[in-house]
Parts: sequence; structure tokens; C-alpha cells
Amino acid sequence: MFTYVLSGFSAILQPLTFLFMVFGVVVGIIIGALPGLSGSMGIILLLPLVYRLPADTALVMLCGLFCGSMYGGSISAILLKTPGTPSAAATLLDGYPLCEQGQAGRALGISTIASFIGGLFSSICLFLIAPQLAKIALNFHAADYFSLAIFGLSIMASSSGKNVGKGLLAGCLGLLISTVGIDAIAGTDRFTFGIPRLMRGFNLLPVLIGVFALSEVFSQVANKHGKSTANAQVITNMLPKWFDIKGFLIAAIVGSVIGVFVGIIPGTGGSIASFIAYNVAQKLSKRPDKFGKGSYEGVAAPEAANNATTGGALIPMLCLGVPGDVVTSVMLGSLILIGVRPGPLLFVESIDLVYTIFAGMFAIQFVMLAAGLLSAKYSPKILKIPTNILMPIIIILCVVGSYSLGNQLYDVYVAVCFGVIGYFMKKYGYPGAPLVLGVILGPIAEENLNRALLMSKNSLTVFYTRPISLVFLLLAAFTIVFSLVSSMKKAKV
Amino acid sequence: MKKKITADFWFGLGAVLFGIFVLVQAKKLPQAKMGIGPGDYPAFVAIVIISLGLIQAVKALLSDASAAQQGEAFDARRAKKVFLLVFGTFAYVFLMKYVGFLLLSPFFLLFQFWMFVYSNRRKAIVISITVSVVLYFLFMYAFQVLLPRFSLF
Repeated sequence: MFTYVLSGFSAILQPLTFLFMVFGVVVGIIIGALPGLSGSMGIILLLPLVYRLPADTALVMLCGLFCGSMYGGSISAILLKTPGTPSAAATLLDGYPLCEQGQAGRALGISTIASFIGGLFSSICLFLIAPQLAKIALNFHAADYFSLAIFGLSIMASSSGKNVGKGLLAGCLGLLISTVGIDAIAGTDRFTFGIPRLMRGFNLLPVLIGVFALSEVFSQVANKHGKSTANAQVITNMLPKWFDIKGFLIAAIVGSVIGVFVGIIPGTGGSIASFIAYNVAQKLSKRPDKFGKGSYEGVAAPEAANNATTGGALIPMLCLGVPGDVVTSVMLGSLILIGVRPGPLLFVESIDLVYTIFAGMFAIQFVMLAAGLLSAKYSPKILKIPTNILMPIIIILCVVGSYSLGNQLYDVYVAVCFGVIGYFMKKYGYPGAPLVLGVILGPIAEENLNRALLMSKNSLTVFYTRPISLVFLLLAAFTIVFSLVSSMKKAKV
Repeated sequence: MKKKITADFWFGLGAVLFGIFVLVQAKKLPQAKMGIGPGDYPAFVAIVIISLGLIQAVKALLSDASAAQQGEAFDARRAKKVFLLVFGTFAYVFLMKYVGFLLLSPFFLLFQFWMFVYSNRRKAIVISITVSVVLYFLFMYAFQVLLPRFSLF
């Protein structure tokens, strides 16, 4: 194992990989800081670059973007009172009051250090937990994989929208989209309606671009685009004193632990973790009355938590091929595009790559700390970039990105069509993440369902007589029932 | 008082009809003796879609329509803008084959700046040309992506 760790670190210290890691972190911070742009959109915009880079470099860059965007959300939360990403929503509760008190620099400093603590803790957990989970997952049978795909889809459908039924419908639509083209089992044309281009099915990249990026631009066109109200105060005194660090260290550690465990649960993500951490930190604090009025702990706990979800979310994605949140579902799609199929076999076939990710996640935290502290002075300027300049450029990038997949305008048409579908889904409350996950998990579910039935001679008992499969199916059922009950309770309130 | 039918109802109904269509198409596909045939899996998903669509349509009919409608009031100005942008994007992709990326993109960007109500015309022109040229050369020479080019012949 020590050899793998060494080779992971030597891989990330290669000039090209290191350069793209820094690039990913910086782009991530900028994207996360700009309200309206998300980590998933950032990954999509970098996709043309991703599949022209070596796999390890591309992966480290994507991880850098993921962590950077998670941290970047706090900048606009503190300076604009608008979280750049949903995960930073809890940060503004104390970050903005600090900014109003003339302590914007200090708030940004605390957020940077807490993000570093959370990220570092989560990368250590990733390194310790992921290989063990992969070992267990290596014993999975076809029936277990099928049930796992169902579980992944159910959890994503239940957690990414207010209405579970809409999430499930979106997921099923994704499963159907994945069936278009020549069927992998019997080689029969399915739903091609005589159109030769449809025989290859829909490429994942145009679907991702359409659902996550173009739909966002279409949604924003009718919004009012006023001038940014970025706080004009000069960012100074970023580094907190040792006494202050001691004051928020416990909150940051608590946030980190919560973040990792919430991140591991597929379908949860940074926003849930940061609010839980905020509440727990308030309960544990010696000065709970300061929360909401500019408490350092109130900034540290949610920031450590949301950054700790990054490593946590990577655990199920890398070991099981089930993403932890929307950004990791887009990341999963990107990995498949460059020929890396996350899952337990990744730990056998591409162990070097896995340890490069571990080493990358570790190093990214230091790069993020340095980039965060050095760039804080310029953050008010970044926030002044108006959305009405960014959105038109994003459309062009989306067009070029989807074209570059196969040098075909057909892929661009597919992306625009999915952009329209994504726009309507968004408008009427259908989450996009289950649709994309359906497209990704569809072939896995179908292939393993077929394999399981062939091995059991068409007996469905295999799905509930195998303990792992039964656990996943029960978890899927529990997730759906639990979400339905809680949404019914919310509706009554 | 007459009850208003919400978008959720229409989407539910649409899902049912779509599910039936998929089910009919899937039934036309060959069957397998062992394991699943090419049509079995889509047929199963279609049945789930039909069930979910039915539940949603019934739920939408039974729910308080006025409350549900509040968030989704039709805004003609908004719809027009979205339609124009989508149409413009399709037209841009269609024309790119004939006019080429480099010549067409600045105009498409200008069209978008107008759509996004960006008022500084001079800046808009400079950004449109710069972004198009930078992206063209970046993709053509750094990423080796042959973007469509204008050619008389």
C-alpha cells in the first residue's frame, strides 16, 4: 500500500498534473463564488478539456474543481449574502453579519481554514474507508448490483426534489433514455424509429450539458440581471489569531465529522451537512447566543462540514459507482467519458489511479488553502462579473463542448433538446439529477438484471435470498417510504 | 367554484400516455426464453412510469389547485424570452454548418447579450469577437477539434 501512496503522490507532483490541479481549484473557487454557477456546471464546462488529458490529470483536476467550488460558495455568502452554492447557505447566517461588522476578511479567513480542516479530514477518511468498502463490494453478485442501482436511483430521486414522485419519474425517464439504441444483450434496435443516428443511443455528454448547463441558461434568460452588489470593503486581517482559532477549532472538527458521514450517504450533500453542523456547533458552543450575529464558530462549522462532504461523497462513487450528490453524479458521467468506470473493480484494475485520487484530494486541500488566502483580496472583483456576460459565453462553451465529443452537430442538437427538457423539468419541479443518474445506471441495472435472472434460471427469488441484494432493496423501499411520509407531513404543515 | 387543472395533472397524464406508448413499442420487440429480452426492461420501466403518472395526475386533481397554481402562473414575457433563446440556439447550430463557427458566433453572442439585456454595446461587440476568436483557436489548435468553417466550395 505504501508503494501505491508514493506513486499517487509522485503522479500528482508531475508538472502537468499539478498545474491542472491548481487550475481546477482556482476555476472551482471562481465558479463556486459566482451565484448561478454550480460545481456541476463547472465540471461540464471543463469536459472538452477533460477528455483530452491523461485520466489521472483529468481526475485530479475534477476533484480540485469539486473542492474549490464547495469552498467558493462561501465567498459570495459572506460578501453578498447570497450563497454561491446551496452548500454555503448556512455560512451566510454568521458570515454576512461579520461582513457587516467590517470583518469580511476575518470571515473569509475562518471559512478558508475551516474548509481546509474539513477537506483534509475527509481526504483522510476517503483514504481509510474507500479501500475497505471496495473489498466488500468486490463480492457483489449480479443481483446485488441490480439492487444497488435501484437503491442509488431511489435515494437520488427521493432527496433531490420536494416531490418524491417527480424525482422517481425523472429517474425512470433516465432509465428509458438509456435503452435507446442497439440493445447490448441481444443486439436488437430499440426505439430508434428508423433513425440511424439513434442506433448508438444518446451520448452522456450532450445529456449532461443539456440537463445541467443549458437548462440553467434558459432559466436565467428571463431573470432580471442587476449590477452585483458585492461588498466594497477592503479585505484585510484574514488570518485569525491563535486564540480565535482555538475558539472555532472544535466547531470545525465537529463539522468535519458530520460532513464526512453525511457525504457518504448517497443523495444528501453539502447543504444538509452544513445545516446539521451549524445546529450541533450552536448546541456545543459556550456562546450560543452569538450564533446568527457574527459567530466565528457559526462560519467554521458549516464550512468544515460542506467541504468534508467532498471526500465522503467520493467514497460511494468510487467504490460502488453510486454518486453521493449532484456534482459527483456529473463527475461519475465525466469519468465514464474518459473510460474510467467507478466501482469496486476500479480498486483492482486501476489501483494507481485510485491512489492518485487519494493523494490529489490530500494535496488539493493545501492548494485550496493557499489559493483561498491569496485570492481573498480579489474576491469582491470576481463577484462583480455580471451574469448577463457569463450566460451567453456558457451557451457557446456548451455548444463547442458537445460538438467536440465526436465533431458532429448532431450531439449539439441533442444537448439543446435536453436543455429544453431540463428547463421544463426545472420549471415544474422535476429534478435533473435522477434523470442523469438513470441514464448512467440504466445499462448497469439492465445488464445485471439479465445476468442475475440467467444465473437463477429466471427465478426472482435471487433478489431477496441474497442478503446484500435484500439490504439494498429494503433500503430503497425505506428511502422512498420515508421520503413520501416526510413530504406528506410537510404538506400538512 | 370550478377547479383549475394544474400543470402537474397534465404532466401526470403525459407520463401515462408516454408510458403506454413505450409499453406498446416494447411489446413489439422479440422475447427471450431465458433472462430478459430487449423489450422486457423498457416495458417494466414503462409500467412504473404509467403508475407514477397516474398517481401524480390523481394527486394533482385532488390537491388544492389554487395553492399549486401560485408558483407556476404563466408569464408570457418570460415564455417569449425563453422561446426566442431556444429558437436562436437551434438556428445557430443549424447555420453553423453553412456559415462556420468563427463567422457566426459573434452574431449569436450579440443576440444573446441583447436577450440578457446587457446594455454596453461596445463592450458586447468586443467580448463577442474576442470570445469567438479565442475559443476557435483554442479548440482548433490546442484541443484539435475541427469546428465548422465557412467555405464557398
